[in-house]
Amino acid sequence: MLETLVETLAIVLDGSRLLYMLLGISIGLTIGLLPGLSGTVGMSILLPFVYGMDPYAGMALLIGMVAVVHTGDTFPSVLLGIPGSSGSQATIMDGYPLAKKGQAARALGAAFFSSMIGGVIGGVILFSIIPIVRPVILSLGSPELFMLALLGLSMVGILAGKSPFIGILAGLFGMMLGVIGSAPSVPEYRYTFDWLYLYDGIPLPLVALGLFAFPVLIDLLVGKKSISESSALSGKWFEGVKDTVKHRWLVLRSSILGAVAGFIPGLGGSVVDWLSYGTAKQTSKNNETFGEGDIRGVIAPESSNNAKEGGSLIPTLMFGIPGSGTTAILLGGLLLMGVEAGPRMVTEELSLTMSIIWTLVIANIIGAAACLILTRPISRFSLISPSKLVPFLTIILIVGAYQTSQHWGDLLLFVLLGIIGWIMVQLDWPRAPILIGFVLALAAERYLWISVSRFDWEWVYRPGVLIIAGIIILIFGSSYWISKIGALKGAKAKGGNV
Amino acid sequence: MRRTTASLLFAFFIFIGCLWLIIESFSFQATARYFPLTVATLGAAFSFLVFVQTFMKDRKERQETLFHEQFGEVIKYAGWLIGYIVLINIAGFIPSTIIYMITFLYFVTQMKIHQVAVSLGGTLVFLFVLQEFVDIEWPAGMFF
Repeated sequence: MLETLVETLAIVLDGSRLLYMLLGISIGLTIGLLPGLSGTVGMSILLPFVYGMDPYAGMALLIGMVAVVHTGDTFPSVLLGIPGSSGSQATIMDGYPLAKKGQAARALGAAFFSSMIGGVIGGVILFSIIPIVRPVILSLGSPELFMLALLGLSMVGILAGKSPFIGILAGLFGMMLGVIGSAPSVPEYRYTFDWLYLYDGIPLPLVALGLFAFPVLIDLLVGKKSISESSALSGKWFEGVKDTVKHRWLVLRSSILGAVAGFIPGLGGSVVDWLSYGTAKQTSKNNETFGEGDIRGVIAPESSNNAKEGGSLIPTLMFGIPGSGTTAILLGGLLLMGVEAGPRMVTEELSLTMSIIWTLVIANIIGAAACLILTRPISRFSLISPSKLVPFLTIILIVGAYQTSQHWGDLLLFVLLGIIGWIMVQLDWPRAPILIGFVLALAAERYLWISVSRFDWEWVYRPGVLIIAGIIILIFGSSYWISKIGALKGAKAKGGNV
Repeated sequence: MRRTTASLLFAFFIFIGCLWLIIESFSFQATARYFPLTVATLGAAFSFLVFVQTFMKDRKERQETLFHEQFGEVIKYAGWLIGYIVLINIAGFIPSTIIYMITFLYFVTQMKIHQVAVSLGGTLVFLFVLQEFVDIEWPAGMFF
């Protein structure tokens, strides 16, 4: 296998294939920069062009694009507090506060460097896991997948909010949004008001744009101040690189977590960054600064969301099971180039699999390097007066929102969800659990339905289910305990009676 | 309005919404009903808990913080955004964008005419490039 890996490097570095990879990287970074345009949109745009293409060149284009979307999407997350794509939501938690403190360049430097390392680790994990992953994936049944969906919800729902009840309520609200549209088990449309637009459900990018972008637009204008609260960008991107090196174990841990979560079908990229953020917060010392501009809150999700790409390719390539919309389109791309995903990818098509690993690694390095070079000029965005920035931002967001299904409903829902998001900001209610609940709703319902249909309620006694349930209880318990300790510390600090 | 009052109203709004979702779910087939029914029931329970928790906390220590100190400004700028979307619905994306850019940059940003022209030109070139190379669609209006 190592021999094939070395041989494939020559194929990947061939002139025309390298050009396709560079084109993919440029498109991926641009798509990441524009809020609302996700890797899935990028894949959809590129798909018609790969038809009949040499599979190595086609994969260089597609993987080159998808590998760096989560590198480019850091710019809007840190500078504007708007997720560039669904995988960069958790970066906002500390990246945006850092930008507001005038340390945008530092946050971006840390984000890009940890993204690069995460992406490389994701590629290495993809390579090393090929021989051993098959039995693991096959042992996960629908009950375990349902429990994993609950695990994702419990983790981010609790950790994202100051009050656990409000966090859970926000998560449930997201799940309610997620059940709109067709039911997964029977041909029935729910909560659609006989409006054709809602038959396919609400698109995820729209929920993210509405909840996060609309409030930013309004608050920027009302506040009449630039995104950065200081007059100069005192942070240097190299400080961010040094921070990443300092927190190398966090990078490694988050990358491994990202790759592992990425390979679980249905868990999806939108959850990985929150899982990583939550874990980092739970396991770090002096974690009270998380959410207020702690660099570790940037490093953890950025390491994991790039590493996730390597992990998500494992079920996609090995078993033909797409873990997300992006990998589903990637499967389509493979078919267009005459390649069928499955066990053949580790036998007859092993060199193509190896070329994908190389592309993933090289694209992450080139993408991060390009972003590091551009950090200073693009960071200056955060000093622009909002009344100059907002009109352009509004146009990009309206275009982005409309692209989700190219229907007028996109714009209506953008405003409606935007108003809800703005109210939540004012009331200090967390918005992130809504997204997590939304993402997990359909997968949770589908897996629960399959579990009950196949095993009745006997599935709750499966060892895998019990282990995951134990982890969920542990997380709930520790979160409650941590919030209690935090409240006690707060009361002591105020000098109140405890 | 006080922030706590707004919080109570928001929790109440979610509670009523969940109750409606519970009632609506009974019109679905049994297999399609169980999940939204469960989630909506939990949503109603938690929104009630949040309502009671906020109410009790407010009784214990009354907070006078306002919901928003510049609510008039919020309405004004939200109006600009919603007005732009309504204009797109009538005049189409490109004409509306031209009108929106000129009026916003001139009246709100208070740019000079030549600065407005440069910004508008740059935006239109960007949109043209986007349409040509990324092949995306603009929202169509009633007339254009």
